[in-house]
Amino acid sequence: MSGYRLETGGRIDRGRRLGFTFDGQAFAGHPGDTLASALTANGVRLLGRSFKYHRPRGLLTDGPAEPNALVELRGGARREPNSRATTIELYDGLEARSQNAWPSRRFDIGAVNQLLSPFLPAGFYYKTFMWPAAFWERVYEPLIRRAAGLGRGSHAPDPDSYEKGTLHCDLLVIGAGPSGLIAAQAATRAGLRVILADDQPEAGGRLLCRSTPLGEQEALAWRDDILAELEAAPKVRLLPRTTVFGWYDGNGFGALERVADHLPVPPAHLPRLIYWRIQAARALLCAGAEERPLVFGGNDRPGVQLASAGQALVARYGVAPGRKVALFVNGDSGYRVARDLQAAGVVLAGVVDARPKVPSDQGLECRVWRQSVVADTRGSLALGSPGLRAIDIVERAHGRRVTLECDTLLMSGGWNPTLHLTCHRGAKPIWDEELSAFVPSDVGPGLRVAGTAAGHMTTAGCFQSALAAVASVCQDLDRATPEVEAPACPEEPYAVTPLWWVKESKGKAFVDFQNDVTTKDIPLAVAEGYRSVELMKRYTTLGMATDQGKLSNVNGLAILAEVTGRPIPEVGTTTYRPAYVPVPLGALAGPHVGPEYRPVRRSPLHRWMLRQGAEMIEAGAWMRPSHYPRGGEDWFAAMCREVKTVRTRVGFCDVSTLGKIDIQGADAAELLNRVYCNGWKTLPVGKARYGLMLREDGFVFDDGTTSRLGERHYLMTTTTANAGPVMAHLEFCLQALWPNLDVQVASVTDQWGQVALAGPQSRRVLQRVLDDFDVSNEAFPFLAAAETTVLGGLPARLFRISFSGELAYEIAVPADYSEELADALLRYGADYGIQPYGGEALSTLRIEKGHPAGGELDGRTTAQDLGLSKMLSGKKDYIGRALCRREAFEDPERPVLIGVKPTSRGAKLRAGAHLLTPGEAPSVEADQGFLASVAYSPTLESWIGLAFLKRGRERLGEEVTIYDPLREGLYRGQVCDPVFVDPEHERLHA
Amino acid sequence: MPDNGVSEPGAVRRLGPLAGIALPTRVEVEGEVGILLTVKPACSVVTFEARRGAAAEMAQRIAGRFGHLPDPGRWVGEAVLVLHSAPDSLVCLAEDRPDDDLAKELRALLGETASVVDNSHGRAVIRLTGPKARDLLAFGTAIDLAPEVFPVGAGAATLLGHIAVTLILRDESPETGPVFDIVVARAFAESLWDWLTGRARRFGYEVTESAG
Repeated sequence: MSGYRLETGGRIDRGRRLGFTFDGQAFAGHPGDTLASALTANGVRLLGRSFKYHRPRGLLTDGPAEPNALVELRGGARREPNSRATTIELYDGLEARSQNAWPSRRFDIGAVNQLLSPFLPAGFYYKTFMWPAAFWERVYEPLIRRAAGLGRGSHAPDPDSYEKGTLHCDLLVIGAGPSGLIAAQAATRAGLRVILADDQPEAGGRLLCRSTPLGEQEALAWRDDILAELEAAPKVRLLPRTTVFGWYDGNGFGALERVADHLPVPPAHLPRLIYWRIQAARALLCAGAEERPLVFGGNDRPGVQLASAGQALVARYGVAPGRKVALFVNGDSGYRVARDLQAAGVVLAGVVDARPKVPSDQGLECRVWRQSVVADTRGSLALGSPGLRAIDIVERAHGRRVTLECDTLLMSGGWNPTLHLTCHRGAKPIWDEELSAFVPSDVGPGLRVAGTAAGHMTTAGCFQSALAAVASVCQDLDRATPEVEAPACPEEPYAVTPLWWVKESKGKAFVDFQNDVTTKDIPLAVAEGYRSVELMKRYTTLGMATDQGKLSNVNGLAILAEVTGRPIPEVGTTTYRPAYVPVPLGALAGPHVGPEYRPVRRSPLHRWMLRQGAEMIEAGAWMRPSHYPRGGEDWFAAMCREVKTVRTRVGFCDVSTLGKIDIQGADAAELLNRVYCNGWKTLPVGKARYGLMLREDGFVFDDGTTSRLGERHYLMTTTTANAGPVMAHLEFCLQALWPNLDVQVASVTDQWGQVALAGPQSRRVLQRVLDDFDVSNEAFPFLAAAETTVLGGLPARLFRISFSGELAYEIAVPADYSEELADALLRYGADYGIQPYGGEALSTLRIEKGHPAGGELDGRTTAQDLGLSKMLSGKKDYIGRALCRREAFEDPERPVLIGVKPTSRGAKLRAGAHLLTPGEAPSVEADQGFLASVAYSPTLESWIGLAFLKRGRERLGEEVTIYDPLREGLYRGQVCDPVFVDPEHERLHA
Repeated sequence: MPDNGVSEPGAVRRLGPLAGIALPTRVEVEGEVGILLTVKPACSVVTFEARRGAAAEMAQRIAGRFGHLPDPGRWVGEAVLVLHSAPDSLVCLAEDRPDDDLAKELRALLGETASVVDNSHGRAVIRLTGPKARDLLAFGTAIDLAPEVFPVGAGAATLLGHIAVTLILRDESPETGPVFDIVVARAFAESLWDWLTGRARRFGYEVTESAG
């Protein structure tokens, strides 16, 4: 027991109690507490175990840089590891557990690692677990992970929802401390659109801990006046609980808004987190500074914490950090903390100042040791309560070591400006000798820095720098600089004398708490040759994991500088990268998870097909019907029935998903001639033609029919999958390659609901649907196209084209009338036994007919491979012409399209199986080709396949071995013509 | 009143892409509704692009009919609205016009100066209004919709939840808040509707039948 709740003070609601548990034990706190402050108020100071040595650890900071107090927050599917107790707002019913400890945080078996520490130096893993190499993945890594591991995820689906969005502003102010507040006020008065983002639930920053007034006002009264002004301004947006975590190109910022993390469960209508992308004309970083720990023996013992954290406990949460508090400082700012604690009634044990010269009138009742350091700490001897009991002070003037009893030690090693964002686009910070810290370099007008973040250590300096920055922003954006007067502030001494490590220490002195990096590891890294700061970081792991070296970086590189005998600016610093704080992946994904992963395209017949009992499947972004089961049919039985219906009677299927591109203009035919490999100049009005499109590299890109609807009006169809790419290709051709062509293209895919009506009875059904249009074979032959009307005046487009190989038509109507057309076909075709058919039947029909589709047009096949070399026009130029006659494309050994039928009894073909010459053992060298598409043909009552086979067209009738190593198939087949049904194409022309 | 998205000229049903989907409903958040959604049935949507070398002549004819050719990203007109949506390309929107009527009018107006394409059945038009309309759209589009940047009279091609849309600010008043029309490809209409209502529930919303 050490910390306790003070009688008064703090920004908490003492009238309300909030119950919570930590490691199953029940505690209570108040609204306004963090988990860290509430635990301290309850006397809990052992919060977890360290990562490597499993040393007991307590609270170090009061904010997001916390390296020790990492807990698993919440339970069940909401369990979140590595939550920083210092940033968790307390709510009623909060559940948290410590990490890295087994069986408990008090009795942790892993702590035996401390005894082994002479054998666990930096780089231990790399050196020890090298042999045998095969052991790494299966043995060493899982073992190490179990021993180390920072908390456990829930492994359950995330029950919360997330959003992401974009905000725009003239000025983004990052941080709502004194600098950020006055900057936002000035920018608002200048009429700018302002966003003020702050990571705390309450604006104010260090003002929340400030005891001295600002001018005539209490600090928080001054803050409240500004907030009221900002809230009343129409163009200002306040974003509390929002961390700006990254600065990106184009002056974009990433920010994480914690909408509901302070609540037990997000309200049903709210997202848990919002990931904001903020586009800011200008930004101003007012993120303040982070206090630095001091490096001495046992500086990680629970009860040793930063002075600023102790000050915040008293001022913000009304909690005394301990019953007897000592301070260890190397600068003036710690004295202010001591005075605040004293004023709050906290018992001070003394102040240890490393400097020979200390401030004269500190106003402290306790003893001040000057030119003295804390060399080591002593813990309680009681098992299971390893908190601080006393400190060993070395008075350097006389070389004397004395022991001072205390249960809490607040340390202040100077301040590091929070400048990380300024480095996210590559800039390096600059070393400032006076502050013994890095300050931001000039990164241009997009992101300016003001206040403590810029190295201004007094409140007056902060105000002045913030107002100067806003004046510059106003100048950039052509606004008049507003009148804002900063309140008068008393002098605030801030001198600091660097103290990088206490060499008198005997115990382990930690530089990086989260990664258990000690003062011994850095010289070791140097001895092993890792002298660069980036290499030292990776060898020792200093500055890694959730805190990313926010506390340890400067101490670490200062020690490296000393060890290597170089000045600090020469050693430099490691690279600061986004994100400044850990960002849950859920926020980055936003709402696009599960079924919302990507939008779905639906045919205008979607609901009609559902009503007809279609089983729908995903086909790219589209939902398409697979089959229409009847009774207890499975897909196979339904497919067979649907195929037979088309081959013997009449069926129809939805083809609305095919890409449709309207092409108009005087040069429309010329465009077609250039993008298709076959000729288009002779196509008359009222006719359709099959077209084959190549890529620039000569491979087949897409195919489809294009119809000529008018003198200068064509309609191109594309495959469903390539509708977007073909449209983009045409636009590229017209805008970049041939801007002089008079051609206008537009997608009309969505405008038309289209069905394919196929089967020997299709003409009879069609004639009933049409208003007054002759579709006899003479009047409307194969590949005819027309604009006409159906069903009493509905506009329609009619094409005599066939994918199935049957007598077939495609009929398109404006999409809102699609269901009318489909119902009419069912009605008028009933006496012919009409049925709708799905994608499975469609696929079987086209394989029976040998029409290439997705499996054959896979981007690796040529016109020659597909048996379409006659389509390669020799009379004109077209895209792909130069490269489609490459030597390799003309190689007679190239696999070409043929058909395959199994000859083994009961053999089922599978796409992807390989073809071999009978008798050859399977090998890559012996490979002769592969099956691209297969189907069971109800027409032939056999499995059939379309395949690519070397010299295939010379091998019709030959036997091949069909080898399927994945599915353990090895059987015989026969090579045949790829057109299995109606090779004379009589039905097409019937 | 026809059902939402459904009208019946003669015996033929016209089923819009959101017929039966965008049904009247009211979802409040703390008693408030910040978003109003309406599907505008059977809108006419016609696009046209100038023929090569005829852009100036096309602009003159547009000016003759609409007063002036709108600047890029801006629209003019009332019953028929014309948005300058891309270089030498415009899109016309109108309500309550018979099939093909607007396309015919534009073909007559533009003659040989432009190629006209009727996409009236290929697009859904959703009206989004209410005090929280901009907040909702900020979850989707990356464009700046602040009134001083995107005033009444502006239109843009953008994305909402990965779905390509044309966004038009029709009107704005203190009573209604901003009045946006969202034009979306028919096949994506239901996905966009799900996205809109999924975001709208954060603010409270009401779906009403079109008054048109």
